[in-house]
Amino acid sequence: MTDSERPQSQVPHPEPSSPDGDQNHVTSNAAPLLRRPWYVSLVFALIAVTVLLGGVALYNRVKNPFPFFGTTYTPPRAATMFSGTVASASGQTAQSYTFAPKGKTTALFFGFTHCPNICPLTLAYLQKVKTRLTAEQQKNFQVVLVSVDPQRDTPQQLKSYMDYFGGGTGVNIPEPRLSEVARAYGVGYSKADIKSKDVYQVNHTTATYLIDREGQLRLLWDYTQMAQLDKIVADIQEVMR
Amino acid sequence: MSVAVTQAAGAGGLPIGANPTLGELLSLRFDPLIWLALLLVGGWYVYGFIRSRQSPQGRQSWPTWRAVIFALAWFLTLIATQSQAITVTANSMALYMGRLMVLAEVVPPLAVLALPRLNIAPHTTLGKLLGFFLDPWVALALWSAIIIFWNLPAGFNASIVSNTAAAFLPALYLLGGLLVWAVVLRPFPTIQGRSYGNRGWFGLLAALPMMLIASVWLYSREVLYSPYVSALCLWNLSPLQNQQISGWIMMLAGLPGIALAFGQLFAWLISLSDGGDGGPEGGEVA
Repeated sequence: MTDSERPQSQVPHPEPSSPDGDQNHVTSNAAPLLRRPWYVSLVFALIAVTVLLGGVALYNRVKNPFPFFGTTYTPPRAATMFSGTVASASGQTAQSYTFAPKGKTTALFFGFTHCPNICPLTLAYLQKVKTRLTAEQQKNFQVVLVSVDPQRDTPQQLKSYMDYFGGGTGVNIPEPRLSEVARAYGVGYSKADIKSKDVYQVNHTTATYLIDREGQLRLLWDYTQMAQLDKIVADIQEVMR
Repeated sequence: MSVAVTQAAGAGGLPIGANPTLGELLSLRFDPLIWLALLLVGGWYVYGFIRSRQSPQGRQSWPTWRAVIFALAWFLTLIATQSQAITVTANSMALYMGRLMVLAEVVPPLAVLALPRLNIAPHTTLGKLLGFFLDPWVALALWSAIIIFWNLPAGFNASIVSNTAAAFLPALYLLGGLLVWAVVLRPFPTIQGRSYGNRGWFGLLAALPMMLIASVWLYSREVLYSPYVSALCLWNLSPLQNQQISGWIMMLAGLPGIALAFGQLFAWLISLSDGGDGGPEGGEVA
């Protein structure tokens, strides 16, 4: 029986080596397939790369039928519900608050009011995004800020801050519950540049999480993505469908 | 100052910004599809190995040391794909690259060496398939595409902020590495060419894309990938330090391949000086 006639097993099955045990000893019909002209090999190489890159594009499209701009949760997972304190509508008193989608799509962000750059930028972008939604969509969209600085961010301060950025809910969650909620979303934060008990900054995760009306965590955007408003709007509208 | 921390989908579990211990990073997670694939491959190998014990020739062709090497490769694949280190991909470029390099440059040579000597007939379906993928041109083109495309900022960023970070890109690195090392180590003697010269040149060329990327990372003065710009990194490293460490990791990971390529080239030159013909299939060293 020649090599070409020998049936092949799907299980790695060692064939006897040559009698002298020389593993490098190759029969006369060795390697004919690799003795192809270089231009044939080149065509094969081009085909292989095309199939690879095309396959990846197809994979991404199958994974995400809608080409979301944000990073998707596949499959979506239930967003962690939480409770804290918010300012009343008048802003004079504090009241308890429990986060629930209640039929609304939510953009959830963890930040703090003393933040000099990323938090105000993100909220400003979210405000712009909201204005690009239809009136009906605006009614069903909310922005929620969870403070990672509950020591300084009072409910009243959070309300003023959110009002400045077009409205939304600023939630104060005291420790240690805050760290539990943050961890559930994969958010990290820590005090930095501490100058005194009340003068410090907070390093924190700057992702914005999009939660659909049924409370499913659908995707997140990194803050570097937030400036691309049209793509953010498209993501939200797709999730709102 | 507020510092950005990007977050890969599905991440969580480890406290970001903390200093995770080795034990925390190596603790296993459970992705059913990946575990299933690993178990199938492992079971397939074990079944074949046990079958080989039934004959003296089988035992000779499939010695125990190959099974030990396979177990090591399997374990490293498990760690690189199913450890909690995956959850901090967005917080440590070095750790991400370390995992990818284990899959591309450590597991493949072990897996190839773990294969028993198989005399696969070139004209069977399997032989033709291997003949296609182990054509050095094809292997080099695929490997270069993987390394270059997914390390350009657009491709790399996409791998961080999209699903490819989870399983697809590591799988590509593993498959690409398997192709390269299978060409270099020649596990299928009835299909692959013998020339040390060809394999040496191939190994050298295949190492170039990685060395190029590693050099750029090492000498760049700014963070090249937006998901890592201002990222809050593990162990209080800066994003730029992470990028530079990633460069070292990639460069060191590529060195064994380069060393072997030079060894093969020297063997080829010695063969030529000894009177070999130096042709495509010549230059054989006994």
